[in-house]
Amino acid sequence: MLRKLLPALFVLIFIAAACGDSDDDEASTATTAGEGTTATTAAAGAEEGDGDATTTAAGAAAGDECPNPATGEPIALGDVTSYSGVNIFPESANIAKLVFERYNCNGGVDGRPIELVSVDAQDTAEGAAAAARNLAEEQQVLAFCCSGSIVNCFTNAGYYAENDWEVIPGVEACADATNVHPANTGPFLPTYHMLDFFKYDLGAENICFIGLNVPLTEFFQTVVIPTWEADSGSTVNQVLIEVGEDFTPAVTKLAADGCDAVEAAFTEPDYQSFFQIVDAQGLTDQMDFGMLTSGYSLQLLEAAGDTLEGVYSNSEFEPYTGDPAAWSEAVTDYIELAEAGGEPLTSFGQGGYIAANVVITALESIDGELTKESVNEAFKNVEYETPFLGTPFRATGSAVGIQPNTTSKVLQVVDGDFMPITDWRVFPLPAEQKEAGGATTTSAG
Amino acid sequence: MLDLAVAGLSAGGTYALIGVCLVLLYRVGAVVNFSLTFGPTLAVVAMTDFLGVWELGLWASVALAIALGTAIAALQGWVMATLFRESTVLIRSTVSMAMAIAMFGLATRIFHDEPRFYPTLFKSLGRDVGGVVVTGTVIMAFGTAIVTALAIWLVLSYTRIGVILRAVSSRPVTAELMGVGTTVLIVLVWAVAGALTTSGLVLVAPTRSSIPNMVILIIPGLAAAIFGAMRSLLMTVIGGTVIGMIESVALEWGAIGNYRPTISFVAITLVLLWSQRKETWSEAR
Amino acid sequence: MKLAERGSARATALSPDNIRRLTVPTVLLVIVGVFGVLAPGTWPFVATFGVVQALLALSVGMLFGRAGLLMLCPFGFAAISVWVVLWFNVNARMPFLIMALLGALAAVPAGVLVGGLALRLRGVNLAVVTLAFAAAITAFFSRHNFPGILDEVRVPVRPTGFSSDRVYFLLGFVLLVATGVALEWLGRRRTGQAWRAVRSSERATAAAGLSVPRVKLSAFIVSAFIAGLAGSIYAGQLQGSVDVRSFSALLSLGIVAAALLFGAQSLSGAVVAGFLGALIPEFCRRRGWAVEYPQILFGVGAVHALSQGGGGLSAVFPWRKPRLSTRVPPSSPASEPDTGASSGDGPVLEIKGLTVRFGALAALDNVDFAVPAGAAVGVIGPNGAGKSTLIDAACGFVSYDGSIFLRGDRIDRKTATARARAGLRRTFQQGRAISELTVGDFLNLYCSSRLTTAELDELIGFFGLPPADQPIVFIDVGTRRILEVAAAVASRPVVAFLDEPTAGLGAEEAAALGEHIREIPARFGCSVVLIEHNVEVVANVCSHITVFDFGVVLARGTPEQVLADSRVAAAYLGEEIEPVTEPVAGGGQ
Repeated sequence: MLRKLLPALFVLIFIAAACGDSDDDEASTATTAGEGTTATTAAAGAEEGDGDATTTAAGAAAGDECPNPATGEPIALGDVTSYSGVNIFPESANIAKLVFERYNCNGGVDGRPIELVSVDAQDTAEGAAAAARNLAEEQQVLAFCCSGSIVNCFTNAGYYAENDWEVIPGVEACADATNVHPANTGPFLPTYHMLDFFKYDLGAENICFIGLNVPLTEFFQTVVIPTWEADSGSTVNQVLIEVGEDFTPAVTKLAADGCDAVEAAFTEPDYQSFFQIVDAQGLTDQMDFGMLTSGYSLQLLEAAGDTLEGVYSNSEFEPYTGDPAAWSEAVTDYIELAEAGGEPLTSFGQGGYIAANVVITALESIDGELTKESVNEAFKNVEYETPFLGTPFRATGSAVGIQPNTTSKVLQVVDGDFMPITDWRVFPLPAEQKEAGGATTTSAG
Repeated sequence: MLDLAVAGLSAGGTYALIGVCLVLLYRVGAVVNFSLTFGPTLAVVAMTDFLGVWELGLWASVALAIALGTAIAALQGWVMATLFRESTVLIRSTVSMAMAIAMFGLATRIFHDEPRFYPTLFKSLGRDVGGVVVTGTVIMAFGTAIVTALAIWLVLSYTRIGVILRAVSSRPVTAELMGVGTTVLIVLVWAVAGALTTSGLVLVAPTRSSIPNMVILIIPGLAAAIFGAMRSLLMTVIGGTVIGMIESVALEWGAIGNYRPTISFVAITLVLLWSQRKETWSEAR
Repeated sequence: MKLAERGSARATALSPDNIRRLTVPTVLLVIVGVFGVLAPGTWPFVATFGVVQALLALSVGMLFGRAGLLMLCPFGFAAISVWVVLWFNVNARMPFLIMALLGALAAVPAGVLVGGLALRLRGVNLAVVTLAFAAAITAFFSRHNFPGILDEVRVPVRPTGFSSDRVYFLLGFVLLVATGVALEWLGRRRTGQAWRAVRSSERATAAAGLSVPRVKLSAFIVSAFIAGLAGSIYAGQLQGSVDVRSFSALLSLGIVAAALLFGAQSLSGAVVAGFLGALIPEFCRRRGWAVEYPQILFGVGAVHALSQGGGGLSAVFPWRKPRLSTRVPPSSPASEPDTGASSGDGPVLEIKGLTVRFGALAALDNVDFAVPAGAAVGVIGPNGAGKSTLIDAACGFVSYDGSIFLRGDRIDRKTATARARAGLRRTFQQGRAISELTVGDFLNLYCSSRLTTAELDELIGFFGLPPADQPIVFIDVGTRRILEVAAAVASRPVVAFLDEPTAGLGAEEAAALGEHIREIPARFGCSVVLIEHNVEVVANVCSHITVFDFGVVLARGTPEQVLADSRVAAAYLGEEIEPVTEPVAGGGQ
């Protein structure tokens, strides 16, 4: 009898929950810092938010010295990030929240605090779609920003475009989306920059590319690489590997094909496996390897150890490693903020930092009332200069495609640290630079 | 092409080992264990914490990880032996699917998918073959697979306990009535499979480095077991090796090489169709 | 005449009993439908995922629950459909419903491919291959992206006028309910009955004159179509922004587990499976709970629930519990001899030089056997003599050397199904009445043209069977064998082979059945070959008996002749005997 009632009970519970949630006027915030990130000491399985508005773990630190707390009506901004599931990068939104908190403690926007409202995308397309709609339609946020996700842009670009949202994420993997203006550069340009680096700076003749068989790779193969090949006059040997496959055959093929330089497009864990095998096969000295910004991670460095020595990487933002004397104030500030808030140092966090600052600039530029229209208009037209980026951040109007950020730097792992070795690489590389063998200098921002 | 064939051994050894464990569980435990790689994955990722956070030292961490994987498998076996003693193979296999889902959720929730340091064992055993380094890991994985297959074959065919195990698998209740401790035996078999799979994953973890990449091994493992028709351990080992090699060599095949997973699917389908070609009817009589 | 009978059948469909059965599912559907349309906020958007997952669960559940085939690639079929829908959407936009239909149809060839594999692969073998297929499909669509997903501007998929989330949910929900109803309807027709038959026993299905390959393929075609429809709705749901990772093999496993757990062979079970799968993650999203917790809970809960039915699945969510019939069985009709086939026409079935080998063992060795028209003949012999093998060979269930003529036509090349259709029917020694069916459905299945109610009643009354709506699962073993006999003769075959029909019956019942069997040739116009150990019955029923021993004919003749033969007695007692080599007697008197 009870067993028959159970499904009915389930249904009733959900209906009750649904009604309860929709007129919940507290902005619910999903958990922020601390879920299992190695740099923090949060216990595994720490409580997720109970539906109350929770503040970040770093709230205490900033809150102690909150000189001018903003107490007006909160400016609600939406964040569609995956906080649970397999591929989660919460640092972007977490850092953004830290930036906002500090800003709120210094007066906010005319006394109004900025509130980043998160809904978990759960690392699925359906989840990202539901999260965006929830924030837009139920929680009535004014704009979206500061997320770090793979699924968000991909799934929601169309939705954002149709509903006139101008989104400024921290880090997204968009192929080409008119309404989404992430702080990161990728995926087009970093690959392009690395290929340039291999050809002009290292003088490689046989350049190879290896990537995973995921949907975005088609973009690499049909747009990025052919464009570079046309611009440079060289061909790129491409190897694709299936998700979950052993890397040994692919690595063997790269060796057999006589590659001088290999650009690898993976996520963090796959870089680890890849270089493990490269090292085991003794190829580290035989060829040069390059990673995208996803590989620029201290966690990866720690986990991969010696196998990463000598490998090049790309950073779409000002590097937070290398010689501290070379760091700009922005980087120093980012590092301090992250450490105070217990967040690991990753490029995702940097993206969130930049996005948050862009957003603040945009909001401050608005005369008059803050409505969805005025905020999104401001997001669309905002311009923000920072040593974090090679060129000023312009949501629209950059020379190449739609990405606001068109520059990156190349680094190399030297003695267990990522050392910047070039200045900002721009697109396209000026002819003089090509002839002079690129710009291989250790650089400041 | 030789170098790619040798390179394929790297994955092949793992597939063979997992396949052998699957066949063991099918023949004795009467279950197709879809969750075989999930518990051991959890144990191997936990090992990184034993090493890094608890600082237990390499071999202590490895031993603890294997113990954990064994314990998880034993628990699964106990559930199977008590709650599902009289079920069909299909039911038990479905239960294993449910267990896989639960363990995957548990693993990602506790450990997340961030870079962890997986120690490489047996570095010194690596050998150069045809221009490709066959790492100590690969040799050990293969060695384990072959030794395990041999041991299982010997035990099941030639020892008294092997006869008992086979009785337990086909008629557990009857065996029970004859005084055989069914539960203990089934738990034992699950524990053995768990220990072996965890050992295998400990070996290959550095080349797989993430939870999804480790659990996904169940699919080629199943393919290897199917090669052996869920019965022949020798064919399972061969099957795993062949699948690994095909995946590797196919990289040379240009356009067709783009469809390597499809090749595996076609290969095991053809093998199965051939081995089942006389089975016109589902029932024996 | 037939129309009136069908009318009365419909009247019983609306009986209070049936209305009670429909109440819970109907209420469930209404609740879900109303919720999806009227719920506040973005719940309707989420509820549409429930529709998608319900259809996927239905595709798995109907295949397993109705046809006994385990398919682990529902998302694979759906992915094909999504690809096709998006291709049309980007390249040749049509009304949404047409694109959706095309998408669902595109999944069908994949269903045929996988279904073709099911002809030789069974149980977990089939399941594993479908899982490999699921992985292959995901890899394929990773390489060949869904059309339009990398485009700057996405072409919306939803039909104009249905772009609001609520209205689109309603559209999807209506499609879901329509699919479920259509499936139920199909389930009551011959196709659906045949699925149940295949699930129970492939041999019994073939013996009913049904082509097992065709039945399995039909099940896969319907399943793939349903999964494809799910994909079409999903494509519209996300307006073309689909991610190939949503179709992974692991997620397919999740759907399968949910489908089996909630009994998704029926619409209500599928709805529960699908909507829980969609609503629970949303619930977690709103509460800020990690999505893995319900995953873990589901896994653990599924294990627990599966263990409840003694490990059986149908006991968990008994949407379709068989109910005892309340009807009074029809009385035995008056004995009216039918216009039976005239005797003395020459044998209807001739077997010449039949040899069947199992390895080195000759189960039958150069046997000649003839069945006269309009007669009941018996076959007796000790165990292992080859009696059942004789039936297997004659009916096409085992390969043999020699030739068999049915009414003068050589039938050696015909499959078991074809022979059954041509008029060779049989029962099985093990008893293969299909327990998933009712008495009436079972009898109808074995008849190539549907029996009228009158014919059904006559059959039931003659053999003394339970009422037509009694589920076979409630019938005892002995009565099931009688039922099999009735099914064998229901289609008025040429020859009915009855393999030990009185096993499991008491002496009185056995004698009564024997009487009925004796009347079969006159009443149903067919010959009977009766294999029996019960010598009394054989002696009473049959006009001619053949004795087998060790695969050869030992003796032939009338019951008196044969039973008086000392060699026959010796064979039963285990002494060695010389086989007889006399020519085949024609009419068998």
